[in-house]
Amino acid sequence: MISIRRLLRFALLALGLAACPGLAGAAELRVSVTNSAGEPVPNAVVSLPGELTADFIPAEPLEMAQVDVQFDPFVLVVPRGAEVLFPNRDRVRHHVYSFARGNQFELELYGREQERSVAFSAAGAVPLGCNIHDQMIAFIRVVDTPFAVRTDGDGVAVLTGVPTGMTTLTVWHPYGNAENNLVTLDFDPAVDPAPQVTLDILGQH
Amino acid sequence: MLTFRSLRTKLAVIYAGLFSLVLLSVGAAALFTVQNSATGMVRGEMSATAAVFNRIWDMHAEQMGDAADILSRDFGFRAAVATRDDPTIDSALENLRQRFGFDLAFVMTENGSIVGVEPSGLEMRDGALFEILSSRDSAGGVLLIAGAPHHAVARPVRAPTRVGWVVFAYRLSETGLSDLTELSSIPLDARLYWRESDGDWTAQQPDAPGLTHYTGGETDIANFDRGVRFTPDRTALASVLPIDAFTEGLPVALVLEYPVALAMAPFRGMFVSIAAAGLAGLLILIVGTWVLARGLTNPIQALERAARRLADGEAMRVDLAGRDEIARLASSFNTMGETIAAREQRITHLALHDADTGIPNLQALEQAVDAALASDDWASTHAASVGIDRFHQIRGAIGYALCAHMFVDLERRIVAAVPGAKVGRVATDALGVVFAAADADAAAASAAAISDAANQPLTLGDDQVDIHATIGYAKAEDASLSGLTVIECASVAVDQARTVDHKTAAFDREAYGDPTRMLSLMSRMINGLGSGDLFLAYQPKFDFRSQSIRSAEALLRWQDPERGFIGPDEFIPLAEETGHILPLTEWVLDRAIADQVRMRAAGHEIQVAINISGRLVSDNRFIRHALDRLSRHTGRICFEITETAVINNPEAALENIHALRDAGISVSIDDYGAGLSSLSYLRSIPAEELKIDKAFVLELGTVQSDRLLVKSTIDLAHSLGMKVTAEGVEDAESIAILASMGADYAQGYHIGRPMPLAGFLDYMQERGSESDTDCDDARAAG
Repeated sequence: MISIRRLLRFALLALGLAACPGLAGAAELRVSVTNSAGEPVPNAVVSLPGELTADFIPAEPLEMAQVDVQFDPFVLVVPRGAEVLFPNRDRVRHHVYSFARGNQFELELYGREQERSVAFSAAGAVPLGCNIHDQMIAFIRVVDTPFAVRTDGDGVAVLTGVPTGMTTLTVWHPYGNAENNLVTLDFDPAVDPAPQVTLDILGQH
Repeated sequence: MLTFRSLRTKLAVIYAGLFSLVLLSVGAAALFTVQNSATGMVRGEMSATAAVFNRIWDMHAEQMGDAADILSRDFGFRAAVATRDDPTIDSALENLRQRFGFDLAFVMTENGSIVGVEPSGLEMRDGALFEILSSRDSAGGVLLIAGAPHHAVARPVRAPTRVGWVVFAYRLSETGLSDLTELSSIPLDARLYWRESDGDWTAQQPDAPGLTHYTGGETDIANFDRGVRFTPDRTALASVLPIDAFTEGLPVALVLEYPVALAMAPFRGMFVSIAAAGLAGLLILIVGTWVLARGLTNPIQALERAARRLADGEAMRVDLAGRDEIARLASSFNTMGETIAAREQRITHLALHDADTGIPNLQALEQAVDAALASDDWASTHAASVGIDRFHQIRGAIGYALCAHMFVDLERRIVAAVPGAKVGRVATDALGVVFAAADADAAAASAAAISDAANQPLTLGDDQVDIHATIGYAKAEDASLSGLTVIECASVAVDQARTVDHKTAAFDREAYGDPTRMLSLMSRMINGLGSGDLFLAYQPKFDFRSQSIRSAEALLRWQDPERGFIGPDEFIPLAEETGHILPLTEWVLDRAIADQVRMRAAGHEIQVAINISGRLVSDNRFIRHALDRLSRHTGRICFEITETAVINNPEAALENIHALRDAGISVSIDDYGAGLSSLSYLRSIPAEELKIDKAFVLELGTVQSDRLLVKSTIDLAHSLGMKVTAEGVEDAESIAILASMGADYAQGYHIGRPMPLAGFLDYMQERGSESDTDCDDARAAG
């Protein structure tokens, strides 16, 4: 389960994205993701196509912390090209890596005082692991669009400033049982301002 | 039930049988115990082996799993898999494969492709394997790769998400399984079975029996009996062990098998020893029993043989050493044999010796005769009989005891007089002597010697006794010709000697006659009565008073077709001796009555006289018959009897004569003067007629004394009231003399010979006699 703290941080990120200029007049889209049993699915990334400009790169680097020998957050949405900090808040050292194609990196053993950051240049899913602690798994979703939001604990993602005319919705989840863990949904915002997406989740986590 | 002819065989068979039974039960018990123990040992060993196998299996699984784990967690390897750095992956796998000796080492990626060279080059049904693995991270157990069973483990490779599986496997070859079982102390057979997706169990070895052979028909692995059990044919012990299966739902089982024969093999030597010892024991027992039984049965057989020979009359002794029951039986047997022999000897002695005198008896002499006759010189066998004259008077005078002495003394004397003679007592009053004599003279000399010896006075006690003995002797030939024994011939010769008043006589066969001829004569006579060979002849009697024939005497005649004329003197005495006289006389009576009827029919009233034997006069049966017969007859019948008829049994005879007289039958005294003529009897017999014997009449004309006797007899008879008939009248002179003497009747050739009925009737016709005159006064019927 995702902790409340992480959820708060995710909500702040979403708010930050929504406050970006140049999207005046745009609508707000509220997407609910449920699994096949009808339960809400958190940590799913809902995105709409859009052009990612430098404006959308956050000034402050995004953060994938290591707390209590776990990554935090579990899923981090990162615009392509953005830099992500990997602060170690544990007493132990970590060895974070990813073999994701295009975003391969390795942060060899480092401690609390050592700051590490990685810029992700390729869109896609980046599974993160720790070479020391097998149980540590997290995912970074590198997106090519400014409209990408992670679902909260209620399985809801709210997209703001969505330009009109958007009819294709993409939902990704690390354990989504689909090609590249992706589900694409066509919708009409005028008719359905709050679309429902059902995602089949492999029961790994 | 089996019956044995020999006690020895019986004992041997019974003991051998009993020993075999004991042996069999010992063997069965040993077999049972050993089998139980061996089976128990095998069970324990199999359980231990199963445990060891499980341990080894787990160790293998652990080793492979550990190796796969280490590899799959290696950062560099994970990097290689995640980035599909195939050469690196291959080299890493090959490195581990060689280090651990795996047969197969490869990686299956998350999308189903296989990385890693298969050293054996076998084709992988990767799709199937992916299907097995895709739903889980780890797997381990028996996996069929290209149809061959492998022990395989699969471990996930995470980077950090799962990107594939490391798979290690080694082939479960048959020899590999055997190596596994070599850890056991007993040579077990290990067989692998797995369940196919269609539900059937398949054996690794194609020729192995189906799994149900070991599970008792059970096919669900959840219900398998983990214990050690016998196969249905009980030739093997087996244990079924479920083994980890790589694929869920397709279980695998290992069967450990151990043949019972192999379990029993260590004990085979023991059983051979038991069997050998048993056979040796049996052999010893049979031989021992045989020998022992021989010791037992030999004396019994000896006793049996002895008993049989004893039964045959042989004297037998059985001498057995020892003091056991059989020896005592033999001793008792010997005592019995001796007792029997002694008793037999006594019986023999008694049988062959005279009880009074102790000298040999008739049987002993007859044995001596038989022995002598059996020799070559049988013809010289002679026997003499020494008959003591007036023995009863002597015995009455000197007593029985001295009589016995007398015989003993006589025996000694005769033995002394005739060397080699055998002397015995053959009758109360006679000694017999068996001696040998070459010829008649020698026999006569011996007889004379015997006579001399026997006729000497004897000194018995204090008295001298004169004894007289008559000697008869006979030779062997006499016996064979006469049908008597030679001793009997000698006895007959004594009678013959006495008859002629000689002191010594040889057996006279002619005088003795032929007894068998006599007997056949009687049967011929009885036959002759029916066939007419015997008939009555009638001799007329002349009545002086009436000068006519008024009576006749019926005389029995026998004309035998073979032997010719047989005189009454020859067969009448014999008939009297043998008892045939009764039927003969009855026949005569019947015949005479019948003839008298015919005479009357011819016009002649004739009194018929028939001769009645003296014996019949006192025989009530005959008298009753005669009276009955004559009561129905009207003719005159006269019975002629002799005085001797009255001498033997006067009372009965006189009574019967009176009865005859009362019935109207005349009685006549026949042959008066020929035998003993007693005046007292003459007086007492109520006869009506006296017939003077022809001896006094035949020469009446010439002999003066006869005339005096006849004259006085006639007078005597008349004075007693009797008529007189003179017999033997053969000339006219006699007729005249008799007439002058006052005789009443005359009978003889001069009057008429005896004639058959027809001739008599002719004779009567010629004489033209008148028939109205009475023969005597006493007749009642006319």
